[in-house]
Amino acid sequence: MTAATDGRRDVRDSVPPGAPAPLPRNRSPRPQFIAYLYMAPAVLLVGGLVLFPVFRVIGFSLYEWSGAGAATWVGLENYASMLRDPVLHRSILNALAFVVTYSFLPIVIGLVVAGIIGRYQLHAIPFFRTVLFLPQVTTVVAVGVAWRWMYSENGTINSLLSLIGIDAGTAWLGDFTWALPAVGLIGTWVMFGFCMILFLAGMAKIDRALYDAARVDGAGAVREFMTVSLPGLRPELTVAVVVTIIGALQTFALVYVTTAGGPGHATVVPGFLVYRMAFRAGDVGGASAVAVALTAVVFLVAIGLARLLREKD
Amino acid sequence: MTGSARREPRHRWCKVVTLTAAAALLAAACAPPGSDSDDSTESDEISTEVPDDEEIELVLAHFEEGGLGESIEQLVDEYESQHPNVTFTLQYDTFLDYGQSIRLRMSSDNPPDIAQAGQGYVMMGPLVDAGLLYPLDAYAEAYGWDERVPEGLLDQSRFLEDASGFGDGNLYGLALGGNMVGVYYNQDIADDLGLSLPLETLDDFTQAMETANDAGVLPITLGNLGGTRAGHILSILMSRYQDSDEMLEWIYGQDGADFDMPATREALDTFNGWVEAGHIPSGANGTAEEEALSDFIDGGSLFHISGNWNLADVAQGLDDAAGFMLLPPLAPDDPPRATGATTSPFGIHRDSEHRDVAANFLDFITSEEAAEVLNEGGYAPIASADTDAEETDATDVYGQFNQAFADVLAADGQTLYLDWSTATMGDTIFPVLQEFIGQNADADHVIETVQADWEAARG
Repeated sequence: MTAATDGRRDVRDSVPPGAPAPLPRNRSPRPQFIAYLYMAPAVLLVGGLVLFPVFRVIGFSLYEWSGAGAATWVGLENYASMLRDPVLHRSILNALAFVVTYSFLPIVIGLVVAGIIGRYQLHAIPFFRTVLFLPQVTTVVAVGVAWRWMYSENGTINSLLSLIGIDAGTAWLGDFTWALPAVGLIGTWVMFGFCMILFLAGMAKIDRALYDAARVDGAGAVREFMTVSLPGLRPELTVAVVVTIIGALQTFALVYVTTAGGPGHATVVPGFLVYRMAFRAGDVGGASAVAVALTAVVFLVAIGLARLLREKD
Repeated sequence: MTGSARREPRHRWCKVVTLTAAAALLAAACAPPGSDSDDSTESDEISTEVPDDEEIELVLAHFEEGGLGESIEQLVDEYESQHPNVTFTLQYDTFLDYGQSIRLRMSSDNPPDIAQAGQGYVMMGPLVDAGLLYPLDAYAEAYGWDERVPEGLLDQSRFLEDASGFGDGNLYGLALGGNMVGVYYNQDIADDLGLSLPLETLDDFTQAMETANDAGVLPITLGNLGGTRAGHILSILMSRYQDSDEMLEWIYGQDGADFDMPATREALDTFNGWVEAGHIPSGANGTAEEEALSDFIDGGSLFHISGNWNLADVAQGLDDAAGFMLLPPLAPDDPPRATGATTSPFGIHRDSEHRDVAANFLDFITSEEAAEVLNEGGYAPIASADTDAEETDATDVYGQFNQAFADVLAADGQTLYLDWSTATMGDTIFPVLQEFIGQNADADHVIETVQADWEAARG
């Protein structure tokens, strides 16, 4: 107990409030030790539950291993065969298509809806906000199954289309052209509520005086949105872009529930391939290699985007 | 704001991360785990006796749901009452969870004594390869399992010791029942169309579909969203055009086997004919299995091609109108063949302390004594096929299935499933067949893609 109390006093002493003087290094090693002790629980948790599994997966990716019994060291062979796999190439293109429907569309729709809801102070706003956010809190499995029915040959979508005279008669998820956009649009539906809530929260922070000023200058709704709301939302936009793009690249559950990658390989995504290789084909090494590559790409994209959007500030 | 006072702790933080990372990397460097279990100390002596002077605890892992799971529970209870010193712990998981975890559980320090291990390269193969399953051949001989079921049924659970091929080698599991794909039909619709069912030949079948189509009735409901169902259709078509032996050679992975067989081409040709004639619904690839089944039960089509896993649903849904037949053969006197197999067999862990008792239990649950319980639970009987055939009431759909199943077993006509041929075949053949029935791929492409997977798996 005394040691801890001493330590705390030492730390305080060495950094007097309001003094930006450099921290004297190595003068007393004890306070640092105490600091590490305080950090230990967090470091152990993160290390044990996040870093250790990550490095384990990196380790797995260098072996040929079925998940049972002995593993064989193969070096980078799993990565090499991954690059040769045409299905993986297809899955990357599909993931890029999902960036449009998971990220671009939800952000645009989220901005428009937030702009409308934020401008007109209706009494029913909490209701609309809740309803529009609901897809985000519904489990993906329920969402997937519901949309699977709606997209079926005799489903809701085709009924609605026939009301306006379009007789598609397609089972959307089984169509080689339409399956990918169809699954992607479910992503749009799920993600835009999240974007909208984010933007609404951001707009609430914008100084009302700016809107008043814009109105005095004769700006209409659109102009007002472009000159006041949009620049004010930059931090929220950054968060929305990063989160939704990570979501797009990591898609798994939605594809798994709706199409399982089909028809053919029309909707296969890297996350689904990882699952399929590890748990169905018994290729834990190959699956780990894809997972590592996917993680690296997501990591780089996220960092790059965050940088890009921040620098413009 | 970027003074050195702020920077230094950050550097130190980086150091901590680096150190932790390095430690983790070191740990990871020796991953993944596992050396082959040493079987040098193993004794090969077996006994069919169950000792009654010691407490014996057995863990049984399985994924059987509903009636099938209940019949296992019931048989465990019965066995426990016959041997009061034996206690079972049942570990149930859904098929999906089970498949994901069984390898790790079997290689853990505390593995189940008895575990379900599906035939082929996906489940049983890795377990055999890792030396985790005990070969049951000595037990099979001692208990006479090979006389209990047709030889071909045991072969499905045989694996070469190095796991390079199956259908041959040591016996690693024992199955409780069977499954089989055939044609369900709606008798009411058939009556309306003036068709007399069951049909004699494949040509009659195609003719019947044309009759239905002309009358504006959908010939077949097909839910191929998951991809497996088109695989079943191709597989039963292939077995019309060749002996089951030829098909099994390819599925078991025997040297020189090739998917490019005349039978494959003829089957694909016939299948394509059905697609082009509109006998197969155009939305099949976007329709879920259960959706197609419920369409059929609602009177949406004349036929529905599926297995006995849908027997209860069809019987209940169509009632008196429900019917089942094998896909008619090319010539009326061809031997009965069908896509089908035993259910996932139960194997015994190599390190089980009580493997004699475990084997005795396997003997019990596959015995004549257990057949009735299994039958009630929904297992298509394999152990007492001929005795059951006599009692069959061929007028209801259960009776029709049991009769057809017994006929196929008697002729050793089970042709297994095409996706059993390699660990990745399901992920190869199902997508390419979706392309095929969506007319995005021709027969050549199907054959090339499938055979390439088969060859890649064999180095």
